[in-house]
Amino acid sequence: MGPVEGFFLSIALIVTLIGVARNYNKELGNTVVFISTVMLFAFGWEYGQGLLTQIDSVFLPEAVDLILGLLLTILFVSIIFASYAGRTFDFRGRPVPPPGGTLLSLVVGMLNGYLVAGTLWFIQGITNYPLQRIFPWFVPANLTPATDLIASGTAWYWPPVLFPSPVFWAIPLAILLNLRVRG
Amino acid sequence: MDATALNTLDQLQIAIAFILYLFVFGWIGYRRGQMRELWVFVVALLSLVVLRLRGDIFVAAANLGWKLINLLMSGGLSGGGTTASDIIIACPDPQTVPATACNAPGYLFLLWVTIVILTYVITTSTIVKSPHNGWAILLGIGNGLVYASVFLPRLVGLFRPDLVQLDQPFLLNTLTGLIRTAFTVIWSVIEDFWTLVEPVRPFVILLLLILIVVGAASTLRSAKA
Repeated sequence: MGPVEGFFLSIALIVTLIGVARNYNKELGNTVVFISTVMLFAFGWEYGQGLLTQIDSVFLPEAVDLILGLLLTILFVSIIFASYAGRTFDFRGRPVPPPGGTLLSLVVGMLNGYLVAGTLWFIQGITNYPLQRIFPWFVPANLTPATDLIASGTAWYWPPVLFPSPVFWAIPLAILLNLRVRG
Repeated sequence: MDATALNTLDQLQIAIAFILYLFVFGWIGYRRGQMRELWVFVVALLSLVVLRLRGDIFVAAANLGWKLINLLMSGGLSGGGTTASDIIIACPDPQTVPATACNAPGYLFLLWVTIVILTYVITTSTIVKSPHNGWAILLGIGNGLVYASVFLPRLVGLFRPDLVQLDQPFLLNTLTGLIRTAFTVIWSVIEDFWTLVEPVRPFVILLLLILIVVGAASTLRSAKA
């Protein structure tokens, strides 16, 4: 495991611990927001790759990567913050007492941790790790481009490219929204 | 043979048997409740550790008691001082004392079983309030693991007497070894399953995802309750 994996696993771990502290009735509300965002990114990746290539051909690719990477990261972090701040999609009802409730909070927290860390990694990956140029000591230099990783099937675990079609994400999202509305 | 060297179906059998075993003890734990299971768990584990580390004290105590009974039975207290001290100080005869270097493990095993059974009886009759919750299930599973580490090496003798070694009273590393091997086998089964479902992996992930969110959401209790 390299520093990149360690970094994103740390983010996933932090989100998981937050999930355990907040309980899964609140975390499921965040899951709704995270899945929606992942689906949005998945659609963007599915249909926006051609546009990205065209922009790269007009402007300097490194500059495009840097600006796009920063914009997408700020957008995603803002969504994460918004999902945690205030009353959002918190599920009604009381969670089961420990240890069952703690275990469920851990599982849902891990799911959220995966969605957050995986999507951040995806953003960094598709923009060829722009942080590397700002903080050269932060990321190893010999990273395989994300498009190659996705094509070879190595990066299949990034949430936006996890399923063959972004529509797959709509199924758990619809179920969660249905459960949320019914209460 | 190493359990992880077995083929997938054999490993699957072991994994299912182990999970069912834990399920039974988890169920027993739930039925008996948290406080009863906690006492049994603490006593069983503590006595296991004490008998393993300081078993010689109990062996010596048993021998001394046995000799004292012999002394009383032979009228030692009414006899001369030489007769009494001779019987007590005499080196234990393997045929006349309950625990010697040869049968101490068996003696300690019986002592541990007696302690555990007594704890079950006492906790059942004395502890009235014992909540039936998740902790009770976990403690029941913990008890099951402790018993497995003690009983399984002995039960193997029913099928393969040549493999049984009873020269040690209790091996604490049997417990850790049992847990490690069991989870290695279960992990190996999961890995094999993951390889098997590779063509339909997205659907399996989707199913797991739905199971997690629906499972978690369905356990939320009504706020009015």
